[in-house]
Amino acid sequence: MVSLKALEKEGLSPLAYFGYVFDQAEIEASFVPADGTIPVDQLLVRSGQDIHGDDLIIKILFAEDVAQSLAQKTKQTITPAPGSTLQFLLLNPLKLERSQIPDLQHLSGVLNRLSLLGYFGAHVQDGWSLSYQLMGHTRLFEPSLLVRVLNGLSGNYRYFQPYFDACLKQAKSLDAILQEVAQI
Amino acid sequence: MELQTPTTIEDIKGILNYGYYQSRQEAFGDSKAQQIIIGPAAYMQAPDDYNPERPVVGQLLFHNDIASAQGQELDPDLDTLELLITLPFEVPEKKQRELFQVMNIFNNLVPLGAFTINTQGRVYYRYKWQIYQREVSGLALLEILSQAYFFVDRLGYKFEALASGKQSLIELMNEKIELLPVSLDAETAK
Repeated sequence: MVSLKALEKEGLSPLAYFGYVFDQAEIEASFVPADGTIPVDQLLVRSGQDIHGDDLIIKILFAEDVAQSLAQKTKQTITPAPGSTLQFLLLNPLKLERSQIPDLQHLSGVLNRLSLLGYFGAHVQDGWSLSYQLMGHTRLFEPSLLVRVLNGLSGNYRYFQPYFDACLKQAKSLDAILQEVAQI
Repeated sequence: MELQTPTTIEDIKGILNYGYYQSRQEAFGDSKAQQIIIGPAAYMQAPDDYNPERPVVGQLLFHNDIASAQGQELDPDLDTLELLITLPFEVPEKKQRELFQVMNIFNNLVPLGAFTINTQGRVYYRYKWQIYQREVSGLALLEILSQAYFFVDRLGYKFEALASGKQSLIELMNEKIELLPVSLDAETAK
């Protein structure tokens, strides 16, 4: 594995390096550097497909970059915490109606008991999502650990997707869905 | 405070000596697997009002230790160190839906892990730390614990206020929450 110093010398973001390693492992990844519209560097990774055959895209970024960017925007200063946190976000792109949110939030809370990795949430703006944060002592995470996180998140998402689908389509009452969840 | 690999549960106990009262116990009554019990610590039942008679209990355990004790196959390169912190109150069934709504928002403000309610109605915080070759950075672990207990203190009594009916959902959602070094609304924090 390369060193952080070597990456800094080359002016490379660790996210760009992870993207390179993923590509070598035939995991499609696209590094998106910060610009006028995107405040922080991001890495978009295709991590298999959902149960309907649609691509699962996981967004990866450094949480401390987000905090730093917001601090700059509000002209505040922050003291960096020790270590580094890599944030993973898997969004279901389906637009939600406000009326659907309470049931989806209830379902998310119950599924968070069972979630093997990450936690579920539901928001008007982004739809329902699965997120995870990985703490490390530096910004240079072990790529094979990141691959495990990606696989864990996409597997977890697919496993619980039918319950979200049933809730969104109102094919069953929330109580009926929760009873099924209780049998897992 | 960087450790030689692999980190043992005894090493974790040593790291926690930096500021945490803890003990080692059997995990799930299985003598082959050990866990660390953190605390009990006093519960912050209102801002700066800590009640030692209402304990907050933390647990730390390696998933591979549990799997190994149960004779399951495991990948020695990859493990999970799970932190679980249980709060000292129960949420009545009729209030759980509102609690889940609030947790959905608040979990976006929590940098690591999330809160939920277990099947017995107890609120708990959980973070599953994915680690490589069982190499635990002591400083990173202490940072995880520091963040987790910070949010248990700042959010626990708010969850309880809603669960007990002391505060309504609307009141709680409209409260200003000062948790972050910069102003950040729930949607952007995600």
